[in-house]
Amino acid sequence: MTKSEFQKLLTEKIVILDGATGTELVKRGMPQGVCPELWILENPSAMIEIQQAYRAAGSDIVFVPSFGANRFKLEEFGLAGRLAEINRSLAGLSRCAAGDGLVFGDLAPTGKFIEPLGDIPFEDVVNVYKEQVAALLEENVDGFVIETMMDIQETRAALLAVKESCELPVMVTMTFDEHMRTLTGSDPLSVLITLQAMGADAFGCNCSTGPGDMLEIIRKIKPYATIPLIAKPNAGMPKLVSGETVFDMGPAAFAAYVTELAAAGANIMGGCCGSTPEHIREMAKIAAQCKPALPVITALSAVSASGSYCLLGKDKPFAVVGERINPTGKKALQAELREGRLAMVNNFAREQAAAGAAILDVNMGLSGIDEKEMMVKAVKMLGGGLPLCIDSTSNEVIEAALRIYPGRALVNSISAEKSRLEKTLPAAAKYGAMFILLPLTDEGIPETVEGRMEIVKKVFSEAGKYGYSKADICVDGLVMTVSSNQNAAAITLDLIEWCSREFCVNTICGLSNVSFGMPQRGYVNNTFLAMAIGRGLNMAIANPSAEMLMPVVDAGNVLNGRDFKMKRYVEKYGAAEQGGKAPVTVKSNDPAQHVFNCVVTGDEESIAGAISKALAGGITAKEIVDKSLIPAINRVGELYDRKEYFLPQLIMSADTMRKGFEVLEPLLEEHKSQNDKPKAVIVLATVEGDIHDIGKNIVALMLRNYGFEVVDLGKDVSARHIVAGAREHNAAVIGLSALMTTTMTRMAEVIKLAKAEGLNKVKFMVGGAVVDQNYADEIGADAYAADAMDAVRIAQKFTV
Amino acid sequence: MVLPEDTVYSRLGRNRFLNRLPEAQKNLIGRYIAEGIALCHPAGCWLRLNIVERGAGSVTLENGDKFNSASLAELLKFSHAILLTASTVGCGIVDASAAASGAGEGVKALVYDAVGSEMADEAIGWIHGYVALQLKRGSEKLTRRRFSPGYGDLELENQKIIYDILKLEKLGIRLNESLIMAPEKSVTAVAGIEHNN
Repeated sequence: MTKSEFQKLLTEKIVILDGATGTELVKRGMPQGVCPELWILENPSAMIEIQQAYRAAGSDIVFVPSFGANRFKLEEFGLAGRLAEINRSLAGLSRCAAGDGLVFGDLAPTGKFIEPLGDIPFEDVVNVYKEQVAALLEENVDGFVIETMMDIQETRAALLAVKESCELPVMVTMTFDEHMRTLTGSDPLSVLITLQAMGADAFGCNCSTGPGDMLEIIRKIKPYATIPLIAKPNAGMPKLVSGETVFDMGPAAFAAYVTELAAAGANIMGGCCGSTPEHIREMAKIAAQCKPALPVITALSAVSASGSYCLLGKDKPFAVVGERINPTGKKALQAELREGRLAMVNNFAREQAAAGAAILDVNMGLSGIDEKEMMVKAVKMLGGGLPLCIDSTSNEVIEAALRIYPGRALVNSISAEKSRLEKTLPAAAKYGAMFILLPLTDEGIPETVEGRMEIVKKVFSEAGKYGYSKADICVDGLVMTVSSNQNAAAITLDLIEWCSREFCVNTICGLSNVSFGMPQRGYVNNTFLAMAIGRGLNMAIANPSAEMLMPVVDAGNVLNGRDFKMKRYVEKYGAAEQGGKAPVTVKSNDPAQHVFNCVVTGDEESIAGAISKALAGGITAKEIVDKSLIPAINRVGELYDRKEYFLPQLIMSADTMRKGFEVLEPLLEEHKSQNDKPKAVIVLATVEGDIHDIGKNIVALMLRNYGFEVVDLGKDVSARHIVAGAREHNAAVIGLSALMTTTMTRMAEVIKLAKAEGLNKVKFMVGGAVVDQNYADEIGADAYAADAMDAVRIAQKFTV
Repeated sequence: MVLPEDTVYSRLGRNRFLNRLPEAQKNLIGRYIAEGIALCHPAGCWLRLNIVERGAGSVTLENGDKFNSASLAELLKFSHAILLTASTVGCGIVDASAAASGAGEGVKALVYDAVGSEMADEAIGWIHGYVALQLKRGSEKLTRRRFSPGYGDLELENQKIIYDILKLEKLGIRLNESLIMAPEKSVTAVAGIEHNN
């Protein structure tokens, strides 16, 4: 069957698929735990009976029962060596059962995870599917179905395997849970955008849910589908009745959804778990009365990642393509890339997403590094976030990135240069990427608008040969710096206007070029942006954190009607205004009270200023400690004990108090008298073998705030080291922490050793998740501290 | 994986007055949670093993290993196999928490610590969700509860058995003489696999 014959069939009717295979095989005696594919070959009559029943019930297409006949799955049963034979035999069986019906080879999950989620390279999985495709093609299947997929990257691998092996039609269905997400977090619209751009001939969902939930998915994605949609639901949700799993939806109830599914836009229907030939018969009867709802669009201007997407167009919000992931002019990033690290890339991605970028430009062009290797590494790391714009001057780098990118990327860029048209364009088309059209040739950039328009038309015409439409491209206005040519901005604006109003394509520009070499570049950039938006610009490559950039974009969306009912604008800026009217920090005119308030509210930023004011007002450092800081931290302790504060608030107050002490310490030292009592020393340690120390660190922080000198010996500390530390620092108290039952016994060793070495005056307090008062008593500790505040009270008691 | 902020707050000691948390503090904690998540690099593995013998206080596996635990044996009373799982979120979050602690940034250290713990748990939950989907097609299911060494009467000594079976060194996890895993934010678990009927 050709792709066009497949599409023609779908214009004529709602195509009916088969129903469940697994549950029907179990009914016919297939035991649990066997390899289903082998069992079918050993019991061919069972499978023939099932598929003949589906054909008789109205199935136009039956699936070869090759669901688990890929190398990884067959290996689990020691059958990998028979892969080709098994797939061929299964296809032959279906062909025999289907009569004049259509037979589609079935590819399903391998059970492995592709990098970076798992450890299997993407190309290995493509090859595993290719093996299966090759065997199924030998039996002349009519097409392929890639079904029950849970991961977009594995789905892409299977789709590429089919596309690189034959020209047959291929349907793809994925499994979404009740939150409309696949197991690896993809939503239906993101994967539709990715897979239809890559060349899937139909897309939809199967398994996991009943027809009701599937209806919602079909409704949600239909407006964006350029290909027919598939619904292959379970017969309801599984329930345990008298110890057996049953699907509670009978044939009539199941088929009652057909009219709604058809109206929502499902063009292909069938059944999954729990469905029977009776379900399919009822479904086919009703479907025969329904008119197929063909795709409402022929092209979609959108990019996607594995779990996100960005719709583009003149009626869609302006899209900022974050420009920060580019080593040009960034020495720290350059150094990091040369070391093969990507921590800054990750940070840039996070920051730009938080600042409002819709797409992230990724450029790894740097001398002295393997650009392809780093690009692939970066794309693997970032593929789960915002959609990416793959930016490189190397065709090879772009193709490598597109191959493993788990979404529909934007390629930056394709011009009329020979190598771009001959190499980058076909690669972009193969993976279904959108691209930025750069109006320049091997001879350079035309100086006139008309010259640039001609190039736009030429590149678009070439792209059309690969199936590109206007929705798939964005023309770069090619903004040049006005400091060298004051007419540069006008030429760009004219081109943007022509592209958006007459040629009707997306327009984009690298914003900051316009102001190169000028002072206060932000003024020029933002003004140019506003002017360009007015002429129809709908995308820009820019830094979303640049001052005033996002407000200009957001206001532009309101003024251009791209922000429906101004919802986004009000949500973003309305809240900020309210925040301004309601200060969060409690202010006081009394300087001592202000210091007190700072500690109680954990206002670390204000405490230094508050203390300075108090000192300037004549309050001494000692008075600030005694009358503000100590009462404040005591108040925080009370709030914590009463459970009105939770642990982070206690720590915030403690951090604030520490900062206050840092300011006061030099002054307190100056006025130290000989009569002042030295601070009591507390030695803290997590015992040997134990590496958990967050609890002990919190205790240290609180004790320091209460004026103790804390010697923190760290974690995994031996008894000998702890005792030596206590002796060296003349400790009044030793605090021991342990989190596990296997390490708490070390506490007893410390106490025993200390006593043996004559440290009779030192007190022991113990704490940790598995420790309690009984255990403290058992090992001869002086106290058990339930939490950090308890430790403070115990230490105060021991050191009076 | 999506880590709900709620789970982190619960670990931090959520209480009934949390809705009074000032906006600035809420924002700070939210920022640390987001940073913490970015510092986590979850990885995990799992293995299914058949049960060959089950006594009142022990369970023996097909490879000859044996768990001595009455509570685990009770959990697995309808199971014919077990699922062993492990997860880790790597060293990054642990090191960052320690660095924050050392720099006197207590809240940051505390929140990073909580995020690391929750992410490791979430990773185990994710694996269980994935395996449950696979099992469903074969009319099998996972037990609702799972056990980890060190809880109930499943002694921490069993950590070594799981560590060896799952070859956790491949995930970069080390086990010290006290049977504590490093990176600290690593988790192992045992659950049962039952037939639906």
